Amino acid sequence: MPPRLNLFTARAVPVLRSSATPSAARRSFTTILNANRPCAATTNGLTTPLQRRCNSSGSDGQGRPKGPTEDPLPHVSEEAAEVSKIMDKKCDGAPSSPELEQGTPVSEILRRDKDAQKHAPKVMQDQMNRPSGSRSFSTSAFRMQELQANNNPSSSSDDASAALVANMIAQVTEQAAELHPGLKFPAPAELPRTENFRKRYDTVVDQFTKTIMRDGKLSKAQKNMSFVLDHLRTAPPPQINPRRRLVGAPPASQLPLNPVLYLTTIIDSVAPLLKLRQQKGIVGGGVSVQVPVPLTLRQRRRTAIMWIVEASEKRRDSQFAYRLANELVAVAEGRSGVWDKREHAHKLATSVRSNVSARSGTKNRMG
Amino acid sequence: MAWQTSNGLVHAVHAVRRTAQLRPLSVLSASTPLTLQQRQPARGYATEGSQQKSGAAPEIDFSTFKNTPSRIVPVSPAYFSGSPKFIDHILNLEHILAKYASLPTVAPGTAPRMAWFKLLQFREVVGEPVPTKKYKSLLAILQRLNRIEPKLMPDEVQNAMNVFLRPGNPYAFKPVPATLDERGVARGKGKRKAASAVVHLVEGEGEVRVNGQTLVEAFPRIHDRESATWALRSTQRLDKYNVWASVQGGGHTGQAEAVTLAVARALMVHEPALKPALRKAGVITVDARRVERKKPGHVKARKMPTWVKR
Amino acid sequence: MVSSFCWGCLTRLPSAPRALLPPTLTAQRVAAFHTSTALLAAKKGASAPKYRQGTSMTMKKKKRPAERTRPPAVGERKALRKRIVLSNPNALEIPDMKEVSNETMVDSRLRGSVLGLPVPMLDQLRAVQAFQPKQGWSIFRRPGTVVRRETLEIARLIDGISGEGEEKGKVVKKIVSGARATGKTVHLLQAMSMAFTKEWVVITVPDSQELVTATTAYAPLSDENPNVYVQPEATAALLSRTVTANPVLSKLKVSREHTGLKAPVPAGTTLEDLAKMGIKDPAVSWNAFQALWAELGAKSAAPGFEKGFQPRPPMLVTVDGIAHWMKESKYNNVDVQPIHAHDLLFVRHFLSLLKPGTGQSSLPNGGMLLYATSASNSPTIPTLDVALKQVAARQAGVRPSAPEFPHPDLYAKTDQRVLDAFDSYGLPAPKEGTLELQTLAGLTREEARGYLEYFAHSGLLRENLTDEWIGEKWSLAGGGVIGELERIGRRLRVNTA
Repeated sequence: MPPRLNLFTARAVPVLRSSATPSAARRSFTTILNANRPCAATTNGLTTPLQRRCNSSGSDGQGRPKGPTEDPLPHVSEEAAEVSKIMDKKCDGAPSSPELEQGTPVSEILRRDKDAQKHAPKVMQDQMNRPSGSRSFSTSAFRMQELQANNNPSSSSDDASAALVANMIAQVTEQAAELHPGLKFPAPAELPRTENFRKRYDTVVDQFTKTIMRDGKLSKAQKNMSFVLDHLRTAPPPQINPRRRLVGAPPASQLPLNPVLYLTTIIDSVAPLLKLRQQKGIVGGGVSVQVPVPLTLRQRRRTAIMWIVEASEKRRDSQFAYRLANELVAVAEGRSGVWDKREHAHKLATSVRSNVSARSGTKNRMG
Repeated sequence: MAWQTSNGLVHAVHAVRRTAQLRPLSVLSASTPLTLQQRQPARGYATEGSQQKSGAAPEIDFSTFKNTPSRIVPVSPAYFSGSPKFIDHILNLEHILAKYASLPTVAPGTAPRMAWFKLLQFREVVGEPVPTKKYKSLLAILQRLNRIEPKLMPDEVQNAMNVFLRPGNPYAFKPVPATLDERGVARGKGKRKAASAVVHLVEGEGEVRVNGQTLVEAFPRIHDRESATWALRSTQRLDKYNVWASVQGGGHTGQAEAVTLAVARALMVHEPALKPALRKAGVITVDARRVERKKPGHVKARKMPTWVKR
Repeated sequence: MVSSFCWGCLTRLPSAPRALLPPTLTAQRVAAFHTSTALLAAKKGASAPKYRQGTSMTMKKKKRPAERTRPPAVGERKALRKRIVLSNPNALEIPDMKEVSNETMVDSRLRGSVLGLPVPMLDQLRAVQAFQPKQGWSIFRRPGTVVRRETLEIARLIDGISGEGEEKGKVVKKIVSGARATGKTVHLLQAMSMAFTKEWVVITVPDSQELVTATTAYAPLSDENPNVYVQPEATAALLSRTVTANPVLSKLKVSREHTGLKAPVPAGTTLEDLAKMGIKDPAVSWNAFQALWAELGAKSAAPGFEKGFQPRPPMLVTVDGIAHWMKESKYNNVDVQPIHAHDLLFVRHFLSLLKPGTGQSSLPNGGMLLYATSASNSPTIPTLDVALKQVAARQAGVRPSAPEFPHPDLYAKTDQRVLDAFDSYGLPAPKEGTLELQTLAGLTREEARGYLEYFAHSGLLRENLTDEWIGEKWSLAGGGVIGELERIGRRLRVNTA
């Protein structure tokens, strides 16, 4: 079975296990991603009908090809359980072998283990309590049709009471959603920072774009930037040099799918912490002395970007964007001279570190 | 000449007042009232009167003598401070503030807007060289007093504040808030760089036309398209309104952002309560920057030609 | 009184060097009316005031230092520009993705979903140059296309033509038009993929501009016809494309005698070999192509060739960017006058297919003609616009005599040959459809959702695909223009991890 991945529910779930080989890593990623979609119908009674398909054997959808918005396969743990049933002829509730093979979602372990459930992080507890099966993109159109067709005969007895309850709920929600007098439609949600007109791009991407801009031609710079990001997305995952690791990066195989994170990681990894400043008058006699000065985050990134752009000039690809993209990948793989620059800058700064105190001494004397 | 300005007037009044205060000295020496001509070189310390009239001193009238103070005391305790009137004002306001400090106040933005004297005007009124910083502190007290709940505002405070108001109320005239026309269309205008846009916004399903073209034809760059519709997308209303924009002048960026401003203003006609959200999205902030003009003798707006001596 | 010195001696004084003479004695002194200007003029230029020399208002650009690295190798840039990447191994594979097949292509429930192109078919599609470099195939795991309304329509037509019903052997002629990036070329690609599925013969002209820009060789057809021209290299390339893309040709045998080729064609030769004769020797490529065309249109075998005769499959003929064929080409004739594109036999052949065939339909075994316009790379030809409007009017049933029938501007230069090319006078053959105009526009919101979900499933888009979000992108894409949707889908604004 190919691994299936649902990225949308994946946001808040931390990746708890990383494997050695990329394929295994992807696999465990997958399983964990699916963790918060338990198939068993849970607490919320209203959502139960929607989830029925999850558990159903699939006989209803057998005859026709599946539509684009249908989710035809069962949950990964079910699949694993079935496999184990076939393989091991064991049919207790807790399948044993899939854990070894596929990695068991944390949430499943938690569900079995009440004690661990208590001590689980709050995020995971919340996820356990949340109504399941709510994919962020709505795929309910097809399923709703089927359900309506299926449910009508069976649920006729409950209809009256259900309608009453639904009516009450509708009334309550209507009252709750009473609009502000100055609004015609529901008020917008709280705006994140990037919803500001002037700050719509990611910080690093924006800084990078503005740095590679020449002669005020922003749209050209943006075109180059999008090419670079596309290249990062399509180039094979970087072979990380163990001596020059990217700082705080997820496994290399996951980087291309999130080019902005990829770019951020590359830049932050080669950004120097310090710079040297020539300062006169510390030791007297008009001799200037190099003093290491710490850089802010933005300054550090700028230095790194300038280095990368500079190094890309020496490449022999025909276009600027190609050169830049290739240089970025080279940095990720530890092949670039930018790393040497960083090490050199740090080494120099370390060698003149004694001047830091001299500088602070002068400051004190003066102030 | 100096009489023409109010400041000069104030100074003159002061001079008169000073003479009046110091009059008793001359009164002492001259028992008979002086003629106008004699009084003309009126100086506080004049002793001419005694010189003019020679002869025996008049009889001392002790009843009047006792009432005059032995030392002349200024009216205000701040007389020797250099800016006595200003300090009097400050002290007065501080006193009032202390008296009514316990009254409830309203939020800073909601207090009625008052047109206080500008610094130059105030200097003319009090006739003293009031420093900027000190005037600011006075304004701070006034603002604080103004924040007292309008319903509970004591007359004393009101009168004290009225002293500092400019004549006329520049904030009285408010533009009539724009409304939808009879077809439910809101109109908004916006400018940016050299472009100006007029937008007609109507409830609909997300069709956008710029100068009769589709959004894609009008703005080939996605960034510009996003800009033009930012007011609607940041409030999640892009699929709830139709936009008909006409924009002229300028380039792509200017046109797109002129449309942004116009759409945001038109949207505020439909839904005034969206103003905070739009402010936060940065779409109703007017960007008043324009290209700086070129000056004669300069190569560009500020660049100077190179100057060679030989 | 006689002067004491001789005047003649005075006049014959040895001429002193000019520099020694005082300025008043120079010739200028004599010639000039005013003295001062002439005197000053001599000095001028030598010592003009030097302060404020830089009053010039011209802006000088700083010279960039010359690039030290060597330029890339010859052809490298073009190769980079024309490179077509069809797969991104980093993108996630969509496990339940359907492929184009006989069943799925006509399934209307799949409308709005993305159908993958079968992997074995990719070579065929590459051979006919169905993919274009800027179509954004390179970010997905495998190429796929959206099933939209027009796709289903064309799928039904193709299904009908290759089926056994009454539609069998029909000829459909369409001109695909539409705004920029509305998916015209991909529409052709979808038709090709369906035709390959049904084992049709696919003949394509992916780049019509190449034929008229005077980049391939040309020659008059013969001494009898000096005014029409063949393009041997281009024809050989067409044959080569056709042979590579259509393995069906190797199963079909020739059905008649062919002259004009170097060697006689014996019975039992496959059509593939026939075409290869033209590929090998471009001099006879036009004859080979004609022979191949006649073979593909054959309904029965001539006597002596019956052995192994198989009925010919229907054909799909596509041309992309026909506007280039509607003006004078860059080729010159012997009088150094430009040759009209319609005088190139290659072009003329494909344009003649638009008209009703004489006697039998232009594609005797049925099939489809899909000619697309281009909005990004296209000359402005007002006559073509009028011609397309006329096609649309005829399709709508407006008679040419009716007042609302569009006519070219009387005061503009009209190219009558262009109007005639689309004017389908004459009765069509029984199974032959008239020329139709199909205008592509944006996707519907549902189709746009399916397409954007494809991005999401591939792991390229990390957003909440709510209805508002889809509607917003739909509006931003100018009403669901698919190329713009693609650009928006791959655009990364913020890190939404």
